[in-house]
Amino acid sequence: MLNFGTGALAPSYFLFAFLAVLGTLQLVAARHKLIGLSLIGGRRGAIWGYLLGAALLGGAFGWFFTTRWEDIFRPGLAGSELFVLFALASVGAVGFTLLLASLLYRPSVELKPCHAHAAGASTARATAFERRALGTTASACEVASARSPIAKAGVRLVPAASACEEVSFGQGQGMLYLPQDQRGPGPAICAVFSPESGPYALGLLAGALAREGFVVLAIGLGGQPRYPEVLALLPAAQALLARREEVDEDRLGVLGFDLGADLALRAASSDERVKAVVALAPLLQEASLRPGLSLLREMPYGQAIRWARHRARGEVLRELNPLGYTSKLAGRPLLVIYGQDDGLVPPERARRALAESGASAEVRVVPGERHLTLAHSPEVAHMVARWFKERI
Amino acid sequence: MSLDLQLFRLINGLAGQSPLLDAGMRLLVNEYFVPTTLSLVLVALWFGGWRADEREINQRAVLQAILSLALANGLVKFCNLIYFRPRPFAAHPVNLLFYRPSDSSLPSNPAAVGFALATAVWLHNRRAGAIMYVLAALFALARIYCGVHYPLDVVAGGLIGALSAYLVVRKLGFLDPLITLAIRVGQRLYLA
Repeated sequence: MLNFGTGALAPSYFLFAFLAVLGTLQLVAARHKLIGLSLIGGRRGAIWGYLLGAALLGGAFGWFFTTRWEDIFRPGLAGSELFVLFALASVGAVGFTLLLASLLYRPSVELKPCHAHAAGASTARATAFERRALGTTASACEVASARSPIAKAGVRLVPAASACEEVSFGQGQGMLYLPQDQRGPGPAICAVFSPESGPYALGLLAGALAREGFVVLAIGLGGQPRYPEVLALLPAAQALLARREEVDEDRLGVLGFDLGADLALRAASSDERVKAVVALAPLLQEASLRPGLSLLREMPYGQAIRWARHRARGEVLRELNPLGYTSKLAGRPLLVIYGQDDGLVPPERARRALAESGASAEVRVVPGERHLTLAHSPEVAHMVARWFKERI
Repeated sequence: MSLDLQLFRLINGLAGQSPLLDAGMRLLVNEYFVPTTLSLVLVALWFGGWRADEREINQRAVLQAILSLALANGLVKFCNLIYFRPRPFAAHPVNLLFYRPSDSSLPSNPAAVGFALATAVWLHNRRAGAIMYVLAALFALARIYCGVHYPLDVVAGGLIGALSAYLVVRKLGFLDPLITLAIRVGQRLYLA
């Protein structure tokens, strides 16, 4: 029978359990890289998470057992009462942690568009720190990219020098990155990003590729992509690239990220003009859209709820059926890259699925990267640039 | 003199000889330290695990541990209805370092709780289970050291707890759909 009224210890025990669960959650968040449960914002190292967890846990135990030492040796709360109090405190601590972690992780800078060749002159003006990190010739696009929420998730900055301009084609829009000092037509890459990221969001990767001599057309899928309309995006973008005098139309590659990678796989399978494909963290299967708690490795809880409401993603992925088309690339090289800590698509599961589909893909796993940070990794940028250079 | 009483005297006889050991045992004997620590291990298990399948095993262990706890408590209550054994301090001179509980000494409910939780987890996760077994064993030992249980009480309590966990994990298959449903709901909410 529950009778908390007679238990003077009840409020103290509740607070003790609340703080202890809070501390335990911080230790678990640090150990398993759960951003959604981390009260240190997910940007600092795990050591800070361990320290905070240990401090909360040690503080809770120390406070309760020193201030209540005599009380706990008198008849007090019954076992059932302790169970209920601990359960309530746990629910409260989990809710509090999810809420506070979401608030602490909220991106502080909004992505803003930038304009052609407008380094330092657009709304994305570089600060002194950013100039040091990106280089004095960094374009406004690169500055905006470096400030993006994903870039802020502990991503290093890539110094790059390239020019970019906004372009329109058919129903799509994109950002065209041009290498500096280009002599004659060169290889080009059409880069397709996830529904959530605009064309500026992956400017660091595009900038790095442009620095290596590639013309890069970065296109987004739009907030609510629809099938079969999305299938028209890549052919239209490639037609635009083929018309540019800086582009050698026999040296076209396709790069995709997240759902954009699934579209890249599907589109390249039926387009012989594409000579090589790089897929960064393709979702591949609908199971990737049901990651459970692993989603909190990628984003805080509030963002995860918004992500889950994005119903169009599942429909488009199902219709694209990327695994059904990867085997139809007919000998054209395919590189698939995942982050080792990918919270949506476990690399091993993806490797198995690709092998079962009959695709001859080269699968690489990058240590220390998550799904959302993969495309902002300098290591990935160099890997992709080197790979494309050897193939187109 | 029975073996149970001899063992009790041996362990309880150590009380009062070392203030440090007494303080340690008093920390372990109360209803707050070990049960809360065991519960925190369950919280950590629920959210721990790198892969989804590994996490699901841990979460199944947590839910089965809670069900084992309920079953063990029920069995202890049932035993209390049909049998009452006076506490050691009611029948013998003891070194009492705890308050005087009024319920039956046999079986030990704290031992049942500790071993039910530890066994349910151990059947899924050896590492976490081993940690919990150590805590449960210290909890049981402290109950004897502080003079509130005979050794036989904690052995009986531990067996009831372990049996409850074994039944829940291995024999009561009809509970599985309920556990699976709870985990699926948790996964839908990105909390499992």
